[in-house]
Amino acid sequence: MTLIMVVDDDQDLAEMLAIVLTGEGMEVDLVSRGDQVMDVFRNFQPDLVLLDLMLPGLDGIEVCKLIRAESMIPIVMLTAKGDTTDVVKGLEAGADDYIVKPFQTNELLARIKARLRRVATTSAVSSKLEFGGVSIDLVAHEVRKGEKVIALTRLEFDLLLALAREPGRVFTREALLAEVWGYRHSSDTRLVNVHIQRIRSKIERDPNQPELVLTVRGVGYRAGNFTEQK
Amino acid sequence: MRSTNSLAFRVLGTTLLFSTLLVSVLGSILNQLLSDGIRESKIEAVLNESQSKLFQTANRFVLSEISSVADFRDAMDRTITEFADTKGNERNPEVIILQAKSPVTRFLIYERSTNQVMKESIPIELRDRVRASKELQYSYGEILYPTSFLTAVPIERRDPALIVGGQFTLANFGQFEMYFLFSTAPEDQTLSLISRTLLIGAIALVLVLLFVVWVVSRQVVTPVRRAAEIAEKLSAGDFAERMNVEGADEIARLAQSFNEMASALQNQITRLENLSRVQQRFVSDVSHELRTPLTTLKMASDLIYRQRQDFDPTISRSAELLSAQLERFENLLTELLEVSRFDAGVINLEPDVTDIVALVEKGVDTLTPIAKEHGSIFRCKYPTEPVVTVVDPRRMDRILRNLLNNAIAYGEGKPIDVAVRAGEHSIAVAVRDYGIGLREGEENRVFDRFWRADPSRERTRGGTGLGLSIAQEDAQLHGGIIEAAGVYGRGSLFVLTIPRDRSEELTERLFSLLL
Repeated sequence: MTLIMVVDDDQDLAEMLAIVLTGEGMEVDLVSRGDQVMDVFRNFQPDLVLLDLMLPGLDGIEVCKLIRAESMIPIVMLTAKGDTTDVVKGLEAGADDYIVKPFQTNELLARIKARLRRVATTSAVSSKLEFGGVSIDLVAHEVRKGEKVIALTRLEFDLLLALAREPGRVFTREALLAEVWGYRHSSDTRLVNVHIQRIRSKIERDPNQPELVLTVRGVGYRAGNFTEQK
Repeated sequence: MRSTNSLAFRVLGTTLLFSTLLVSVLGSILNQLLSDGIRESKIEAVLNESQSKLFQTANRFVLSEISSVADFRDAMDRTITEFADTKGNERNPEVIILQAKSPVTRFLIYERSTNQVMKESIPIELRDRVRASKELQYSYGEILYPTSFLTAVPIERRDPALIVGGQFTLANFGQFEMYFLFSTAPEDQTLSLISRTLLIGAIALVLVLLFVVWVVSRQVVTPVRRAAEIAEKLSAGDFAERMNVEGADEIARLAQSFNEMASALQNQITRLENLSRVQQRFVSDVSHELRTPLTTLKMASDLIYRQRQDFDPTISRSAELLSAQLERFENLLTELLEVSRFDAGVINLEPDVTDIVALVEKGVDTLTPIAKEHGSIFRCKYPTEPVVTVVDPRRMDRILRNLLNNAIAYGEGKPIDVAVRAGEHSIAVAVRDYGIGLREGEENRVFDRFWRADPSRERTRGGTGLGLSIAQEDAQLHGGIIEAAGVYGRGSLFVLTIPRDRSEELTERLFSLLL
């Protein structure tokens, strides 16, 4: 059973979300205050968090950071503001995706399901990719830098893997959105840009002068010098 | 900068013109007075001297016992020689003695002169006057010195002179004219010295005047220039600068009023900015407060809508209406928020390299099913090459969708033509329908918010009434424009034109608006 934690101060919306998600065969925990999130989170270990940004008690952005400090589970932000600054703040705080109110039920479900789905990694030819002191273990879903395990969210892992699998290829942002987020016809480049920044800050020696995840100006991104190992 | 410089130059120019005029008039009058004075005193002195010399000479002849022509000739020669000897003193004149024409001439015509001065020196007019009068006569002329016999030029030297003549009579020898030729060279020198001095003085005076005016004009121009600089900063939005108020003169008053004006402007703008911030804040709050319940409503409506088959027909239809109206409400809310953002001026473009043709194709593809529902088809004409430029793709997409939706809504099921053209400086997209069209004068009103050609009828079409208005604002953000043309009953044409470079003015029109 999948457990979704819904954090929203609007009781009616939370209840409606619960009705819809339960209807899809998921379990739901409702939390209405930002400062109660962590207790519930630790007790119930949800599979995914739906997080409203404007919360009493503790701001959604702060909540997001607190969760990220403990866990790499998917976080989808609910926001009433589609403005770039709010969205980027949320993504930088560690959210994997966002959805702007008012949304279609179908769209919300699609996003939740996309975040819960694991990218099929085992079909890859190799089980391990290594480059620049960073190794990706496709079986254990683990990324190591030297001996240290780097904590990546699933989405970050998938994004890094998508780039690492085809080292020569330049990915457009649209292609990454389709491949990693599972969106068609989307050109929301903020999602991609912020996630790339997050990955860089975790694995690059100097995130401002990336060597592993490179920007191709005017096109998109590509991997640095990857070497594959059997 | 330019204007204040030219102000100083204008003042200097005017000063130069008038001071030169004044100084030259005064100078020439002064020059005239001085030279007249000098000449008059010269004439007086010369007449006195001539009178006494003439008298002496006449007396000498009378006193010396002249009995023969030879005696007379000797006496004459002596006289001339004496006069010649005293030459060298500048004040002493050259002398010419001529025998007057007399009816009875017993002797040869007799002429003598000092230093061989030619008798042609004496103007004929003066001789006539001397002969006709007993008084001394004078005239200005030149002393002509003859050259040596060998040269071809008869006159070697000319000296300007004042020539005085008188007559005396010798018994037995008749009437004689005696002329004194006083060189005026010293006076002329004095006069030229005076006029040179006057000229130098005049030039110096003009220069000093110019300098003074320059200094004064700088005192005035500098604060004016400062005011202009601050005004420029004000118009650029920098309200921190103020002028220095020193003293209580007109400049200080200018500075003070200027500062008061700047403060008033600053207050006004701060007030407006606050108002705008409050407005923006309000809109943002309303947005948030409306969006959350709207989300709940939509989800509930979606749930009911999906199960509408299980209900009886009236409830099922109600569910459909509810769902459709909620969507319309959402669109309206979104567009109202967008409009309020335009009004608040808080729009940020997110420019990216975009293929306009691909964008149009995408829009046409997405809207083709909706067009089919209305019975319309799209007939497209694109350039074979991609038309790539830098725009905000989201906004450009919205413009195109608005134009296409508009054509579908008012196209009455007839085909819709879509065309893209790329010029050297601009890119244009035209959408032409053959439906209701526009009445005279409606070409501009279609872009007004909530404007509807026929209020009673067209509300059924479901649009928000903001689409074209937003499209026009989006076009203007790109430095472009949407223009409309229409014939009532025969359809309308909307042309979006954007410059290739957003900072440049639109100069090209790629589609004709004539239908």
